[in-house]
Amino acid sequence: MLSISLSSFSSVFERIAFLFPVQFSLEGYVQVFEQTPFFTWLRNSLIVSVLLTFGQLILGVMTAYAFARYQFFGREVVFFFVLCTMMIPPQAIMLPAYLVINFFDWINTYKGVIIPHLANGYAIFVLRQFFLQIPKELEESAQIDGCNDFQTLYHIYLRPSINVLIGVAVIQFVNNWNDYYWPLLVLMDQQKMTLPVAIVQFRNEAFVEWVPTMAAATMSILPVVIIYMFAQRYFTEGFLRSGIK
Amino acid sequence: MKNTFSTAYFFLTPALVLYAIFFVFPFFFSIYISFSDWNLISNEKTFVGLENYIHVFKDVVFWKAVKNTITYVLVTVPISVLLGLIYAVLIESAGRARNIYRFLFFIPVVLSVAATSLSFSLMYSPQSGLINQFLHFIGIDGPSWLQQQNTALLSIMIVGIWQSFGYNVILYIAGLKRVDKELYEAAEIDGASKWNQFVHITFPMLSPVHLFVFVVTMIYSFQVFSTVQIMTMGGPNNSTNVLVFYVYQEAFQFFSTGYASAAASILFIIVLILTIIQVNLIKSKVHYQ
Amino acid sequence: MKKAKWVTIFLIVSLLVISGCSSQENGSSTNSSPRENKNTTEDTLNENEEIVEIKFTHIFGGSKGEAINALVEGYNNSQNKVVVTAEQVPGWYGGLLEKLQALAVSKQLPDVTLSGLEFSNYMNEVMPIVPAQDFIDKENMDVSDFIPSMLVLGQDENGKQMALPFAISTPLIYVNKDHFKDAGIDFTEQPQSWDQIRKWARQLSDNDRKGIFFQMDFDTWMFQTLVESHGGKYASLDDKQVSFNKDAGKQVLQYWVDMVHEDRSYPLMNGDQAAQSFQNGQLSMLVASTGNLTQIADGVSFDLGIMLLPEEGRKLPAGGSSIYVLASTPEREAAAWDFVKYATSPEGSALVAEHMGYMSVRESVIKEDGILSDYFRKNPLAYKTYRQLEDIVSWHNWPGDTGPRITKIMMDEIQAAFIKEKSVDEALEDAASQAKQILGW
Repeated sequence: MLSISLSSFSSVFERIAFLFPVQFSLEGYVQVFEQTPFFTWLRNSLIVSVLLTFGQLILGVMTAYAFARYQFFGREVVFFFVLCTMMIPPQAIMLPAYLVINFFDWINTYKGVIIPHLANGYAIFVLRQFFLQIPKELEESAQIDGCNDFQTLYHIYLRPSINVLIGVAVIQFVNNWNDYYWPLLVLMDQQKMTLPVAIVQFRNEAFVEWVPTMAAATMSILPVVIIYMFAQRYFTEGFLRSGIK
Repeated sequence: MKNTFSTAYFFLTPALVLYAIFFVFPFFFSIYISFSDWNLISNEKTFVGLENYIHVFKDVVFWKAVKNTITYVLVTVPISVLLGLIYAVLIESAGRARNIYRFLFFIPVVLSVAATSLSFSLMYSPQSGLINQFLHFIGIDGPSWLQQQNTALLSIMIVGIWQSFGYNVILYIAGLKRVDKELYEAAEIDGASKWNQFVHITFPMLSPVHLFVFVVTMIYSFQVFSTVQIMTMGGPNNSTNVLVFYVYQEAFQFFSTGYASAAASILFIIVLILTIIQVNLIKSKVHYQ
Repeated sequence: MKKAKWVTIFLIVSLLVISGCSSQENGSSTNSSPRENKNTTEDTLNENEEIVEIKFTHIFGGSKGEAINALVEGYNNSQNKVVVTAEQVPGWYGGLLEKLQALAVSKQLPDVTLSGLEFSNYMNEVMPIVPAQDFIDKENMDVSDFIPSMLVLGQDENGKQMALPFAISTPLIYVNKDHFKDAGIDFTEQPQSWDQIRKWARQLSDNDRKGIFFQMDFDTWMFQTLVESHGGKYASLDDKQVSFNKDAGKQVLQYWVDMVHEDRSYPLMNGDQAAQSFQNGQLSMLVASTGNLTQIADGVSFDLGIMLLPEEGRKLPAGGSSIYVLASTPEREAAAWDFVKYATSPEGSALVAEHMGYMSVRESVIKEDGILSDYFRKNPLAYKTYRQLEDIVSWHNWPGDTGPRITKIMMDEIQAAFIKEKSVDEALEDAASQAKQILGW
């Protein structure tokens, strides 16, 4: 399976040979650069994904902390609701969400792409699970030492969970990076589009120009693969420590 | 100090406000539209009562989509979870090459669905595709994977499993690391075989992980959409149409906002039920521990 | 506790700042592309008139997209009052219609757009368009150079010109002449009958190769072509009659199903895969749109031939697109119309034909000493497509917004027959009865 996944990209450089290209050529890449504003899209993707991931983490930490450490009226119900948001397929709510964006006049802006997705059920859920594991005694002793709520959050919760945070950040970044349908619906100008659009760029009615398509696909996944490569250690560790329950 | 309502809600407010605007409101708005006949562009919305729901329930395609979604979830979830477990155990006993394997298995998870789906539809090609070329090479006449009724959904499921099980591998590896090594040492002394160790130590010790992996995979499977949209458009004759694709198609291809919203509302109800089941599962596990 | 509140407020504010940044970011990038164009026109700008910036949506990426950009650039450089920005919408004509629908909701429609000919009724009846006829009448414009059978494609049922034809295609048979030679079949440009084609397809097929494929992933274009070429009727909106399920329809679907299951000369695959197989030399005949000509010709290493459809009773529904002006302000509409005129002018149309592989809509382009005479001399294959010109008919449009749904139902039922889930008769009857139900006929 794996070898196929890797080879499928390379084999298409020059039509199909069993695994390897018959003729090696960079034509496809050249075509991508010539015919699409590839670097503009790359930049747009970076902006959108970084901001979105960052926002999701901040909100995730805050919300998860509230769920994990406070007893408050309606906690169960609200948490149940967060789980529901995770379950609902994004495409099922896309149309009314589009109408909301339109109401705010955010069509064709990055606000429209980013803000609706800032609150993310997955980030909240995983962080809550991790926070639940941190012994309450630690927190109590911190408070005896005079820490306020935010200092507690920082010292007791955030510092030990750096690996989990990185893990969640990578997962979210990858998802945001690969999100295709929502940006495509909200954005209109080619200059504003994000990278996944590049992959379908060379697809005409019933005729796919495979070489540039796969070149674009390869280049668009490169950033996430690199990030994953570097973050991998934290990542597994993060899950390890999060003691998924 | 701790149990204050106000501080808690200070932390919660930003997320809740966002959820309210971009989730709760669209949710109810969608339910509202589901009782009307509206084509999005015109300003007129006529109230039609349950007509949209009746249409959806009478639609053969809707039931095909329900059936396909259930089949998809029932097949992909167990396989993906099981493969995750098997590979996690194998990788953890692989010695030094562990890191490379971990990395490789996770690659499908990071790939964009668009890239994956396009690559697979190339590989599934009956003549020039890699899969059939290989089958041809060993003397088998391969099917038209995506165009035949008996293989189309299967092909989509294979892609779904391929995409998701790497994530499960990582989760299981994380779980395996938490299992107390002394247990194995003790078992070793008692002369338990590797298989017995797995059955009596590894598997039961992983029970919280099983649950989490199961829930996550289920959520993921239930939302299957992009592979269908890119590879088959629900065909042939809706044999790969799934619920989310059905909603999408009604909304964005047929512009039937009312039907689409009715179908979406039905989907919401299913989601609600599934979530209740999952929450109860998680709860019972937590008590059990 | 107080501190807690402040930090929360800080976090919220910082989030808003983040989103603020992003909106500025995109504000600057919107302007960047028209401005580049503006520079080129500003050099020639003498008068102090306001420049009108308009948006044009189309569907072409890759090399075809480059041709569109060349067209737009040519227009922007040809005058100094209007600057057109081209925006590509992925997902072919269906994707474009989806996008237009969404933009109509947000009142951000472009000023000019292409639209697939299968969606003409939808555009005419649902979208806020400005009929081309309004401009033609006002300017007393001479449209006699447009090829008559193409001009009709932009008209509604009363002969009112709603749009102008832009990029037109007809079905064509792409042939691997090497395979014909291998099988000992004499290649001809004009086959006698559909039965002859079936016979060839059978002869050409073996373990590694298949004989024929009809490209019909997204629509029922091929089905209409064959039904009407077999003397059948598709449907009549005036009489409220659905007729594709009559004898001709059954005959056509049976013809395909037999080739798939009896002759095993027609592989079950999708259009992408078929194009791939054809280029790889694993498929001998590909029945597809003329619009694929340039790309197919570029990607093959064998002797490529083009066969016209059998002449007897031939009817060719025109595929491709027409170009519409959408309602906005009078100035913008005028600017949009000016661009439409350029895009469909002999020069514009020649560019579309030469670089995109579609058919030109202008007589003066295709006549013997016309603009493209050199190109046609070098590419005789491209010229051949015009020999089918007089057989062009309109692509059938269902009324109002029923089109996409009926088309989908028909495709589903045709697929059902292809995979033998239903018999040919059953499939067509089911399709017809569902269509009638939707239409209320």
